[in-house]
Amino acid sequence: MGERASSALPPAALHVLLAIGPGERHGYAIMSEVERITDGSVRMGPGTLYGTIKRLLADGLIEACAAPPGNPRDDPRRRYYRLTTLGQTVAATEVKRIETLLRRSGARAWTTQGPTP
Amino acid sequence: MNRHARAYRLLLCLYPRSFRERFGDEMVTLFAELVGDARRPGTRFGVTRLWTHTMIDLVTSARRERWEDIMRPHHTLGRIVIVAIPVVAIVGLLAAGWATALALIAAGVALAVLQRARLRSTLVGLRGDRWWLTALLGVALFTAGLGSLWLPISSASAWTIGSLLGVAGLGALGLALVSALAAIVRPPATSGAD
Repeated sequence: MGERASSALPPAALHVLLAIGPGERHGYAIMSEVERITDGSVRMGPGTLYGTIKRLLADGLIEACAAPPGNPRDDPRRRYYRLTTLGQTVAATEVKRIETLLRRSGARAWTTQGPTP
Repeated sequence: MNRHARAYRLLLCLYPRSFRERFGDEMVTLFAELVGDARRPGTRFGVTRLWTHTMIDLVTSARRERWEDIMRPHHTLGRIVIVAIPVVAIVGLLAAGWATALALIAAGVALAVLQRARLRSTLVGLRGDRWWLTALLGVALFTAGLGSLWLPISSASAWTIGSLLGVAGLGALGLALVSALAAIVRPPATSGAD
């Protein structure tokens, strides 16, 4: 897993990790949060979402957990997911890697057409 | 469950069984919620757009899941079959004509069916409690090999098919012998565990 922690995550995996965040979320909430944090530019379908969840579970980055208390009308078919300690480390490492990348390339101003001198 | 969710559940057959069993209910629940969102007042062509997006997602993700399922470590035979079928077909076509090539493809498909039916554990798992199944398969393959010599095809093709089946049969019989020995050495409760 150390190798995973030091390598770049696939975009979908990073989106899901960031969408789950510090709490617990079910599939619909993860999908909605991904759409929100990307300003609607990333819309995951159910297949992509659960394929990503499957791989994150296999890598030990997230885990299924009980529904948080306080919502008795919640659909019992929903399954909630949360980050494991490793998942939190990997997400934080990845965010730091991207921040470093942006800071080091920060001397140039980027536009949608590419870097400007 | 609305009709859109029912239709989506049917389409989940495109995913591998293990994936469906694990996430199918959640995916259908999620899709039903998305249909609810798409039907909100003021959403133009919401359901149509949802279906378009979902179909694209379905095709790309199902292909990926199918491929990952085949390439799982314990699907060794599946991988071998996938690589072997085109190779043996081409070799057979070049070496002994189309009849042999077709027979080899048929053998490959039969192996794939065996793999699908979870009989691979009998072939490669050295499951001591199933050695007799492996022995039966060996006898069947060897007999089929002998029988193929009388097929109404060219003698070269018949010899190729007969040899392949005969070797496979002898291999299965050898494996059955090892499995039977393993059953004697190990108790069935531990040798049968997957």
